[in-house]
Amino acid sequence: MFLENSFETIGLSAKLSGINYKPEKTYKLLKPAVKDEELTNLISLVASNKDRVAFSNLFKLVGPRIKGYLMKLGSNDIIAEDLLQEVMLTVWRKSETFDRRKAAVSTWLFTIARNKRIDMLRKEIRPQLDPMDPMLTPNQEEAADEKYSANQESIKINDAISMLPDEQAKLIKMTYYEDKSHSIIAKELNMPLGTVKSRIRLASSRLKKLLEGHLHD
Amino acid sequence: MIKHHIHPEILMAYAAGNTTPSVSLIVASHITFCAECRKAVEVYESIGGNLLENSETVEPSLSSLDNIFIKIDNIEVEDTFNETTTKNRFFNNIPSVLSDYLPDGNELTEKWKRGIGGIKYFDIDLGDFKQNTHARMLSIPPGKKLPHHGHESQELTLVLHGGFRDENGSYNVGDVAIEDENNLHTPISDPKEGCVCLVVYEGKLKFKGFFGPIINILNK
Repeated sequence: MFLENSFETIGLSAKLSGINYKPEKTYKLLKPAVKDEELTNLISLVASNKDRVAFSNLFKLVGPRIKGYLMKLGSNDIIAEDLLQEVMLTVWRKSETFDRRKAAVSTWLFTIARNKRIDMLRKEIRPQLDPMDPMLTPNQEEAADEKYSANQESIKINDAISMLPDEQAKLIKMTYYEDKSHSIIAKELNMPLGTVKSRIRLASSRLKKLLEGHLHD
Repeated sequence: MIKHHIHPEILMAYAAGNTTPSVSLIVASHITFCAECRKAVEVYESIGGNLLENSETVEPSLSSLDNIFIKIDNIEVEDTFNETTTKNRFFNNIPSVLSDYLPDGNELTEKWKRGIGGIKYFDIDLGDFKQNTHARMLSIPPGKKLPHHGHESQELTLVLHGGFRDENGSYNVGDVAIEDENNLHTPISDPKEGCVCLVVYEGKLKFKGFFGPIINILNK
């Protein structure tokens, strides 16, 4: 992950250009997974030692990607830069909460960036799950030998999205890339709110079925 | 066991970060109880992670890292001051994300407002009334039967204590009832325990959902 022209994007672009996507390029498959491990190590060095060198290296690896993501979501350079610094500040402060068994590095960074955007751009409160809440019901059993692969996950997600009908994929894209609520999507597409909701319901339950159980494979 | 879940498109919107604060509150509270929906949110967050991962890169400014280290030095001073501040966690049978927004007291409903018929309520102001979304805690006495009613806009009801039942079945702790169509219901609160719930609704102050008639009366 976090490589230029990384393998993960190939699935989608191949689908768009009508070329059959071939997953047997194993030499490319390995590289991103190593990268995720490297990032995980850097985060754990930050968590355990407040290691500033590790943090600087982490910043070099993920900073440009986070900034690019924030700009894709519509922030200009100045705002994206500001948000990026806040995201990295949270990475520093919350590094000990990162749990690789639960999420990929990119997913963890996404949730931090999401929350910063809500906080700083929308100036809204974001009530969210307290992972330390004693009331939390235990997770469903997962096999102990299930090993997480960020790389596999990434391929599966792109595959899963590309398997959706175009109109559903479009709504998913508007939800994530354009950060739009159901009512705004309905207005923009001139569709009844109920139709937007039921289409996203179909798409999201399909994605859930396709991806669940594969996330931690 | 949770029987009534939050719809996947709402979980996805929560994961993507585009639910209103009140809807985020009820989702976060529900997934404290519900491992299945919590897992779904993780799946939807990983879609966001995937999009981030596949974004084009844009070089940060040259002073970016230095600025971050300056901020780090500043917050470390702050953090030593703030470490002692604890959150409002008085009620151990309420998800802490929700408890944070409730008034303290010896009993959950001690500082809530009193309505007719022994009903108590407390409005949680998350600042999203401009988006026409509202969050309200309700405590309904045991065996309270409500008249037939329908509803227009979306309304979510999360049971926190006791429960209720209607034509569609029974709703117990952790279950969420979602109403967004014009169904008719005759809910009745649990005959022994009554029902404490969080209700989140869209639209003007006109409840038409499960406990809508009660809320409308309270608002008069």
